[in-house]
Amino acid sequence: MKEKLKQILSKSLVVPLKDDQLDKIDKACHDIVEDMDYELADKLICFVVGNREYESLQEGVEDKIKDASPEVGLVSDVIYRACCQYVVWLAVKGNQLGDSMRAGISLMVRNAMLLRKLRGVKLPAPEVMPELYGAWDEYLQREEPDTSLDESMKMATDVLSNMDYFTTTAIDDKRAEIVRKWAYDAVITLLRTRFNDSRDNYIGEEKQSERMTMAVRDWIRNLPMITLNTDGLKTIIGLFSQEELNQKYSVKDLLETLNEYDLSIEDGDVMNSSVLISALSNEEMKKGLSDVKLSLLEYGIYLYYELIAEKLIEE
Amino acid sequence: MLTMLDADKKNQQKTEGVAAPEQDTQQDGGQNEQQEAGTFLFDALSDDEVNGVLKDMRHSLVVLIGLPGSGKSTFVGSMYHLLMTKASVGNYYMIDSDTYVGLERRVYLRYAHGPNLKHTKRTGDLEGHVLTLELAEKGGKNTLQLIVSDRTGERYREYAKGTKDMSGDLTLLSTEHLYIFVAADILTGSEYLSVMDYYEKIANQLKAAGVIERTKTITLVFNKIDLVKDAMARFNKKKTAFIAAMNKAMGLEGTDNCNVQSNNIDSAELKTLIEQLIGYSFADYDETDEPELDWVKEKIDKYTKL
Repeated sequence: MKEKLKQILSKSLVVPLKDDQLDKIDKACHDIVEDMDYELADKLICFVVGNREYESLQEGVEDKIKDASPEVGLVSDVIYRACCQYVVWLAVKGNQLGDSMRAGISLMVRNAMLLRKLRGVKLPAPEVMPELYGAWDEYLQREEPDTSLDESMKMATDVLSNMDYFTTTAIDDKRAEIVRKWAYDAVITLLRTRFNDSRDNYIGEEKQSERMTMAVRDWIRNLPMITLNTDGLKTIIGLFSQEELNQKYSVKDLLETLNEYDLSIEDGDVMNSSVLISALSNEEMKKGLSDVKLSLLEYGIYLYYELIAEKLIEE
Repeated sequence: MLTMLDADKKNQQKTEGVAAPEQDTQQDGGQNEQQEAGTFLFDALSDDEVNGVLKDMRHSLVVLIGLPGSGKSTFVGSMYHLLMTKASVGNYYMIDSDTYVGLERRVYLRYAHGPNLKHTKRTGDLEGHVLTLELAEKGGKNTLQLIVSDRTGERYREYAKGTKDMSGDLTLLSTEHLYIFVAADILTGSEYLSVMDYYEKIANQLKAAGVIERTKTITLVFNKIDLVKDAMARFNKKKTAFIAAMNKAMGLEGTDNCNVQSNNIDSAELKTLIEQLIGYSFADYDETDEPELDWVKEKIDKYTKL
């Protein structure tokens, strides 16, 4: 772990820190992760990725890092920001937090990367960021019931051929897992069916950005469980032609469209890392983003994961 | 520019730092005497202080090496003077510094003359040695915090003699750009052999400490070239031998070199050297080195291949 701190700090320092100094900062960063919640993670991520400052970070994070290293001399804001990047890395890649929270923070990191288009901020150690992207997808895969296709097929055949199967057969752990997998797949199939049944809702709209907004919103709204590995984007993208998906839109126009739809999220509860959604109620952010252009597909992807993150945090 | 809050913090830290140097000196055999550095705000910094003034911009560390009187501080003073008075040097201009006092002092000493100033006109070992210059490229968006280590020549003589260990020199061990200053008149004088010996020993130590391996650029600067204008043939012969000896000691096939007169701010050679030094530092950061950070692209690839 300390090696990662060293790596992240390397580009922010002129002369390297001594091992005992690194140890102290490392410990302070671990202590911060111990008290991590989504709100703190959100502020840390936006500080690292977008250089957005939050007064409330001072007591919980800044003071701890700076107090841990009096021998280092004056800890500059650049070094402090690098330490915050390490805290975010620890939160996702370390083992102090539960799987769900680590995955959620990973999702927030991905979402916040849109801030870079807005501000062009240089990251303390950009090469470390991609290491944080995969935790959400990996988490979804782990949550998926793990069964053998052959065993599942055999049990399914047995159930179909024996009306009394569930009353005459002991459901051990393996069989229970197979049933869970059936239920898991059934929910996803039903979701897709329901979505496809209402395809017409998304075809009549003239503006493609409206269709995309509605489709993404409805897909996430109908998700019974946030941890379903539905690959919903694949289904949503199927509604559009490649030409439509490649069409570029200004974020200003996209936000105007998004603003017309009820996302069922309280304004005050939106994470800053959900850049598009939070911009709806943040004039400064909205203004900064107005010149950024996104393709319809990029917009759909950002919105999809922002809504997933908001739903995860709400749960 | 430092904010008032930063300045207060720095002042407080320096006040605290001054209280303990005696103890530090006793504990580490004098290696840590730089604790006393930088009594004034905006003075040159010690190794321990330099990380504290880093700004949210690229930074590059350049180390000037040379025996006493080789003109390192004069060179820094001239660089600062040119940047301040000529608005720019080549394609670069100055934005700010955290060590104005240290830089001004070097400019002042460049002009200070007279027999009684002999002992005070050089950089002392108890002073801070790190100077900062915030620079920008003309017409570009890139900015750079140039960190220059201008240690006393006495320190390098001690490295050569082996009375001080280079392994405690954090800036030297961290730099990617070395400028080795030699006084041209010394090369043509009677002290040639002993000076050559000192420099070879310094070069050997740089190699042993791994400095040569990690540096991107090494430039031999033959300074005070005006003092040998009547003995150029002799100088060139000695210079060739010096370069060969240094390359051999550092284990290199070749190094950049130049002749300058660092106290002459109108000199084209001096301007070229300054421009080269800044240019190398700007080149440290290649934007194309940045990894692909746009995770959305990966998703787009996935879905457009379906």
